Amino acid sequence: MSRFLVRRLLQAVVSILGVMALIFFLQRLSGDPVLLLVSEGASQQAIDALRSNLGFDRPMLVQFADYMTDLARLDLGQSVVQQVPVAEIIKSRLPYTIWLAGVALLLALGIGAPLGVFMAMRRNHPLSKLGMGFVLAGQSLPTFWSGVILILLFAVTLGWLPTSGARAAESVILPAFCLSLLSMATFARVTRTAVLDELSKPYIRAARAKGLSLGQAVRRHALRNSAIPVISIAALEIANLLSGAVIVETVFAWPGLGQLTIQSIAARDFPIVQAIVLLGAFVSILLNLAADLLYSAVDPRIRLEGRT
Amino acid sequence: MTGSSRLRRWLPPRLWIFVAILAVLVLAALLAPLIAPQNPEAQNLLGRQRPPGTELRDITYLLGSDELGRDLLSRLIYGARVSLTVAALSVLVSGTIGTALGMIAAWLGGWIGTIIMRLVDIVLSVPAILLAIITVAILGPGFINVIAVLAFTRWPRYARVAYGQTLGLMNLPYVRLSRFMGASTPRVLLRHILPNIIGPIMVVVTLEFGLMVLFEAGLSFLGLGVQPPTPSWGAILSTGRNYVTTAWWIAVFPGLFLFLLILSVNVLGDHVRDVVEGRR
Repeated sequence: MSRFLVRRLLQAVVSILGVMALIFFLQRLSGDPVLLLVSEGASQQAIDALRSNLGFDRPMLVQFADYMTDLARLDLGQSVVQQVPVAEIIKSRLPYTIWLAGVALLLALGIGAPLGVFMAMRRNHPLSKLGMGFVLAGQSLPTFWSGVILILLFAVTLGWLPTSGARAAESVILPAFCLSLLSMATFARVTRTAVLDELSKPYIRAARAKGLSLGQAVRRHALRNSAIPVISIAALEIANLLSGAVIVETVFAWPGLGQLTIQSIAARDFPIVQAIVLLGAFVSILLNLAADLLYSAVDPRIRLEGRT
Repeated sequence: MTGSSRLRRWLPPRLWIFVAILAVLVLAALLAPLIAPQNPEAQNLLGRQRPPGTELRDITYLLGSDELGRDLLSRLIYGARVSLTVAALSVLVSGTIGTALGMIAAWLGGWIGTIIMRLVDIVLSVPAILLAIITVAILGPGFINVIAVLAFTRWPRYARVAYGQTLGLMNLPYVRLSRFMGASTPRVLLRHILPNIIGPIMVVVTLEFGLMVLFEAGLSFLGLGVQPPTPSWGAILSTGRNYVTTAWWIAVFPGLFLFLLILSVNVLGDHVRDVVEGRR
């Protein structure tokens, strides 16, 4: 186990370093990185001053070493527009995104997983057919469209919920629901497959033969075993929810990191964009790691494969 | 077996509706100048935000008009061009680069192979939409750049499949024999490996296509994609959002088209995967 753990951790570290390098070189691809860091219409003198100030006139490798050291010290630089440390800006927005993604995850799991169990138990029930339709549609639904439809329906027409912003407590409902739809469909599909898999196994038939009803057999035996794939999918879905937030936050004017990303691009505030992408990559690598470890913790067969 | 039952086996009737939707959208894109009722960029300030079905001086706005009085249906028909062209080209570019790099990584192995496959891991570890956004932020928006960005973000998907498939094939007797007989590396890869891995690659293509449509629309929605006045579904939807209380159709119809396109591609893609994997 420990060897697998070390190998997997090393892999994650390499990935994180690689992402940092990737973004550094992408920035250089644009030709002049200074142009990414100045506001529009800056004078040539200001650009030159900034170039030597930030050391962009030094050799590439020196710049790269500096950049990596700064990141290692968690120094994400200064916002070009607001002249405030990037870390501070991110800290003020992060809670909104966590709140949004958290509620979305609860909705996705809370509705998706039971729906999946139901669809596995009652395969021919009309509701299951409807559920399969939802799974199919949910995976093809652009959030920027479903968001507009939700606003049109629940905010504009019915007037039940606020259209956008994060002022009231109930403001989170529409964006979180919109964000959760794709994951909900995924959870429903994965849970259904997992439960169906378990239901076809001999131990369930034995339990049924002993006289357990389908519901009892599922509750007492199948659920626990089918939870494994669902749990490891959950870690990956958190990463999807966080990156999906970029669009959903824009649709609902939700003041989290996603909205900040788009605002920063519009304001040409590149250090913020870079920091958010690094953060996103970091979180997603960690969640992938968590999913793998979780999987190998519950299913020893994977651990053995990792050792070879 | 009769023709119709063979058709039913390869393409079950429940999928016909999706083929039909896809065919209509592809035809609309191809024939846009012939079938669009109006010029998609012709503004009519007297006919702004007219609801679907409005008739105004010999012009019927079947799906209504937008905030500048442009015919929404015509804009959506031209928008299909943008969606499908961007998706097709980015799949083509990323598929070609990814497949080539994957085959090379497997064939050469060693440090070149390691570097390529590490790069695959790294690019795939950044959430795709974030990577696309930062690349657009660097390169700037626009038609060509969107394709470049999508190709750059997605090639590792193909590389991974090509790598695994090539590894499985390269030690088979017929491949070794052809090397023995003096075939050059490009010849072995193109003539003997590629034809045998194209099935799994096509599966990735069909699964990626819908995603590329979604990404293009998403980037355009965020203002990072194809720039106005070129009609892109994502951009039209984004503008329509500002008029959702007064003119719901501007935002609803482009999204509906988008949804139908992605749904059809995904359903048919799943079917292609089942057929390819079932045959192997």
